[in-house]
Amino acid sequence: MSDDPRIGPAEPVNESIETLYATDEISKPFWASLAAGQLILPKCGACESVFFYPRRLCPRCWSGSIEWIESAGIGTVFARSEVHVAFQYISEADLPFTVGLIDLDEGVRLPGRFHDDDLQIGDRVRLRFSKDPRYDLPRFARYDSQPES
Amino acid sequence: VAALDDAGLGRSDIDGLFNLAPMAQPIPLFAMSLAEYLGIHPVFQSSVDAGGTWSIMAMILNCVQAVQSGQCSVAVCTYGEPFATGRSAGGRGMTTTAGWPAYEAPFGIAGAVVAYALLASRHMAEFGTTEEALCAVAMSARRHAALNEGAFRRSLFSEAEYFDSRPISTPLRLFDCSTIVDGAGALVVTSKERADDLRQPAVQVLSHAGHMSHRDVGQFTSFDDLRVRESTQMALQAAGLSITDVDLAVVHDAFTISTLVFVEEMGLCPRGQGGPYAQSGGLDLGGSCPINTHGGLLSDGHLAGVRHAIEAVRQLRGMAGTRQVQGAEVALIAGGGGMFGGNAVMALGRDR
Repeated sequence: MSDDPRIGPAEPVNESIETLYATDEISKPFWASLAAGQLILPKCGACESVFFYPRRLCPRCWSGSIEWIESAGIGTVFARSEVHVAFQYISEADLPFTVGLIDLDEGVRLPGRFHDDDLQIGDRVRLRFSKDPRYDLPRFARYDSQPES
Repeated sequence: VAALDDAGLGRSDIDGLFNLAPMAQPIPLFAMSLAEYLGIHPVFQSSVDAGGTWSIMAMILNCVQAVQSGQCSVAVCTYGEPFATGRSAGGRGMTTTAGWPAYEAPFGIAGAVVAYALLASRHMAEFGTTEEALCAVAMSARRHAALNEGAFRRSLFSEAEYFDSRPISTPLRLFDCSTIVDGAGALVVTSKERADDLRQPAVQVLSHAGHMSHRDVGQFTSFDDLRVRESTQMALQAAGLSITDVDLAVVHDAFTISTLVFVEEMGLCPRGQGGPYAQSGGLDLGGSCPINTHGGLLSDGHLAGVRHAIEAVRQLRGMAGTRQVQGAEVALIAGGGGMFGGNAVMALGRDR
């Protein structure tokens, strides 16, 4: 709908999310895992902190010993926005869509699109994979369960 | 050239050059390219990229330190580019992820506006900030721009027109976003001794303090962790000032939410009260500390804060025309860039 030629429709996407988004050996396991229907997060082998995004070293203690842990994908909405403009990777046909930052129970903040557009800050959510996770990123859906504390 | 003319200096006087390289289409070795294009041969030159308005502060600091240490005697800091028209078709707005592994853009957090929208949603949830408050920021900037012949957008709008402007990334509308323009600005830095002989009254760089908290918006932790509060206090303390001594401030307002956060964190009002502060005229000319008297990035145009610094200089020289803050002696530049992640405060004072 935009008359701004710089914000045009994205190219048709027929590649797997792994091919599209993995830019190096460090990011590859993360995207490959999502493409296989599982969320994994990097964890420091030395100080045991879980962090996002994947790095070659732990941002907390600089250890280079990095492991991956499986995440339940459950968390709380920290911020949200309904987006009406197509930037990088988003096609005009998708507009508007809702996106947010999610505080996962593992203690990291993850970006993600919403399955339920009416999710609000503070709502509990759970990552939901599509039927073909190779081609669709998972989205956060409402999750009616309180955090274990 | 205009900055040098204004100072009464010529091209042969420049021996230092600092710049912010173009962002729409990055050019490696830009400081060298610029010097060669201008036919000058500085003895000290570099490109700086500290993020947003922190870049101009970093350039000014580089100039001050180069002059103080004797590396050069007259340094120019400059930035300019066809920011609006110069983007490649593939650029699709400023995605800020080129050449860096992107973990947010695939999920739709690409343009800067989405990142700031998320922060705005957070500010609203934490402090009850309203859309009317964001509107008040946009309208104040426009009222100031109306007094500034150099501003890009100068026509006033009503609150109804604000609410009619199209949503970009909620809660931000079109009128919450800065005006992307083609343009340029430059400042000349030299020693006090040299400045005393020049055509215009000089403005002193009093102090600077900054803090880098994050790059990607997903790494934002809290408004507290931006440490704008601490940076402001450090800059004021180093200059022997308190916030009540500040006559005006120019703050990085790429989006309306930024202005609210800056006035809160600078200590002009309590945290979370930026909305009511803006709605009661706290930002406006005539108040105790007018904000962005030139119209800011919102209405004057987005040139990464270079024109913020120029406005502070004009105000302190008493040359701001109908938007002059009477008796302005101290101005703060506050701002940062990226996704609100690197912020600094610089105090400038009228030379006495």
